[in-house]
Amino acid sequence: MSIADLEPMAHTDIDTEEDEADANDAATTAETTVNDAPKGKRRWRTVFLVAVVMLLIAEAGARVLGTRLADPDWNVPELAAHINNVERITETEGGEIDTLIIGSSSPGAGFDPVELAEVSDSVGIAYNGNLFGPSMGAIRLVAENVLLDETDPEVVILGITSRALNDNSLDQSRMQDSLVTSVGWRRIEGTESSFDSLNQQAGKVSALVRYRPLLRDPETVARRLTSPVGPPVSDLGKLQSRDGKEYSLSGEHSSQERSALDNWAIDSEPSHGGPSEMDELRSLIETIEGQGRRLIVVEMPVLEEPWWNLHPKPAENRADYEAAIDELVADTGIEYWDINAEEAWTETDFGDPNHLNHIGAKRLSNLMADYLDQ
Amino acid sequence: MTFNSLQFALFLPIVVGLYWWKPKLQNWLLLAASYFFYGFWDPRFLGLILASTIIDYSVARGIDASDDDRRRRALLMVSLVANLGILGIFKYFNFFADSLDSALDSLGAGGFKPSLDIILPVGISFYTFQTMSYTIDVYRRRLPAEKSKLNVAVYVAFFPQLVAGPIERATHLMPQVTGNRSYPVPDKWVEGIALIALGIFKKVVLADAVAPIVQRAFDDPASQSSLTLLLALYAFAVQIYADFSGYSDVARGTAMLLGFDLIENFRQPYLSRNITVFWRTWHISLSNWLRDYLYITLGGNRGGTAKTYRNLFLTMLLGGLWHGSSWNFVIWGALHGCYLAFERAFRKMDDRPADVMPGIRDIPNVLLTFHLVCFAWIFFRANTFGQAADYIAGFTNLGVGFDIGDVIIVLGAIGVSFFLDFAQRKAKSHVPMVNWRPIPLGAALGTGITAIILFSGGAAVPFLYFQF
Repeated sequence: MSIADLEPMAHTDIDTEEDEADANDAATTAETTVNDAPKGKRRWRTVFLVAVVMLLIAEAGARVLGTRLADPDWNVPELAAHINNVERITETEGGEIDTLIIGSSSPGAGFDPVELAEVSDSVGIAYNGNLFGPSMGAIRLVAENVLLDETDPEVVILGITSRALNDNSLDQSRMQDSLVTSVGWRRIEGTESSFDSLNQQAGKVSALVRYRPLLRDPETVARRLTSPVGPPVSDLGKLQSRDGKEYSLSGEHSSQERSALDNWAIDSEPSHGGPSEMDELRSLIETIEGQGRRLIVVEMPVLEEPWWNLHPKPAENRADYEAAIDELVADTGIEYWDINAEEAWTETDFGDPNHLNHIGAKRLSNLMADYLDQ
Repeated sequence: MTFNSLQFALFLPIVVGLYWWKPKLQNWLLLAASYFFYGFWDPRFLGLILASTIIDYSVARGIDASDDDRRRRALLMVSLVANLGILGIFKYFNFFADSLDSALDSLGAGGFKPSLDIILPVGISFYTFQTMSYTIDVYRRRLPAEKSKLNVAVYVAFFPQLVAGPIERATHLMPQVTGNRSYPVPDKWVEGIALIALGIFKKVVLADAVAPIVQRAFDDPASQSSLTLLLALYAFAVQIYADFSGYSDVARGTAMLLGFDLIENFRQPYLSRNITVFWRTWHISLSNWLRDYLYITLGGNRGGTAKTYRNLFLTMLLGGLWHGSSWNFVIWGALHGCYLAFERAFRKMDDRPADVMPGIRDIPNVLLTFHLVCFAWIFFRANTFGQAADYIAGFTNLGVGFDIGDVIIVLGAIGVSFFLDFAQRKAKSHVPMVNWRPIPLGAALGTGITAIILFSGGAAVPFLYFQF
């Protein structure tokens, strides 16, 4: 398309019969417009035909890209994968889930359901229902509204780290907002609007409509196109991206550290084991125990770096966090296992300071299996 | 009801269909549609519109019927006090009460805080100014008082421009309300629909796409790099322009389908070569209102240099305050007042029309004007003075960190926005594309619809100027 193409027709050469109709500019009288109506109609037919072709090209592009994109109804793609996995296991394959692991990506990478089931006599089928970068509030919401009902486990393992219990973490609170504002979440809560339903129906017809929340973010599209296609977690929910990795401080991790340091400035008296996230944890404990399930809270292995890199006052902040957990254990009498302190963990076990790699995951899963079998 | 909602997509064709089906009932239908449109947001505040209508209808009739100057002036004062009183209570009471409380507090005599728990009615600043223009114009004998209550009610509440303008003048809109409207010729239908589509495109694709980037930067400017802050500032310049001019486009297009002609509110303001030209092309209906009813009433440029500068500055200050009850808007207005005064004092007169296409030699001036406007936008967008100060201080964070996705979105929005402005300025038309050849026009239409599909979905984001 050249600049000349964009010129008003009144200023360009008229060389076709069709173009004659185009030459009617805003000053054309109504009479002339009526006389030229058939030509005008031809012009508009061409316009609409080209527009439809453009839309079809866009739709075809969306269909191709859509095969590499996550479920757009969920702003939290791992939850969509968990729901599909659990449905498949419990309904299609007729299996039961005996042990459910919940928490952030730390237990997501650290607990291997396959290893647990193989080593332990008591675990049965295990499922790792972890979320990426959640607050404790988000962990509770997903456990109470989705995972506990769908899996009905006898044993629940809740892996915790300081990040999910940080009242000050903007990233964690954004993740929770993102979760509860997704269409999928509204569907679970039964608060879908008529617009959501209309959108869902339109999405069945058009990939452009269905994938638009993802397609309009160029970074997401680029990331999805350049990363391997596949679900974010394994069939049994394990986070796989750290498997096979040797220890390194990734760019992603560095940005989390910067973010945590920035967020620290928001509240003049921040605390780890902050009151609102600790309340979420207490509420979750009450729910799980109230349902008669065995709950084990596990302090996940982490290297020292996160403490020193993520917290401006590491010693003080760590003491705050430990004091809050001690108080919780004393108040609730919960079964709490500080595997981080009890075992010596080294960099060979980790993919990054907060996530075990396959070596560490195997080690942790074996320790957990022994613990459960005792 | 907002223009970018599904409800409006259903509402508009029904109203337009009924409107041309029963021409004799057009004004009744317009009034019912306007009250429904406004009441959809909160029907309680229809009472305020009704009160303004009754007051101004009665006052204008009284003014028109009298030859006694004192009585006419007294009646005008009744209208001004009533309208500005409503505006003052709903929009400015808490602001002035808080400011007085802070002032007393700093003098050690705090404790005065009679704040009111009230919601700001949508569009109150727009329709108050519009209805005041009616009584003032009747007082100035530019217009006879309208005898029909229905016509005055339609003039005050005309739904296309009720909540965010353009602020119509009685001399322009009232004759259209009272006269017969002819069925639009096909070109007018095309132009009206194209204006609506362009307005929705600007709002949904340009303004809403960059809004989260702006929000993040202003929420926490201290932790952003200077490059991110600059990018977000450009993004806000695009956001507010696309949002507000998009609203005006939909308003004008909708009015066109009803046989009305609303005034232009924007004429590619970011192509302005100085601040004076910027104000002739940005929110034109408000600038004209302030010029005719405030600046000229204060004496304009007739009282000597000092008074001219005073009047200019006061007009811009009050123009800033019109936007919202916050000192930041006052600072924004004051900044523009200073720019205009400085320009008047030191720059060579440029007699070219405001909407002439800038030449190569104008580029430095266009860029300077754009950046001066952007600097003032910091105060306009920030929630508090402290946030604005943090934003400005953030430019000393000399990091170059930025999000590549944000850069693509902002540069894309700037590119499309400037392309549209250049095309409009060149063709001297708000919808130059309707005259393009069929293939480029079809391609633009297809691309535009694709972009609207991509960037729509979810709850409709309200237009920024609704809050004013």
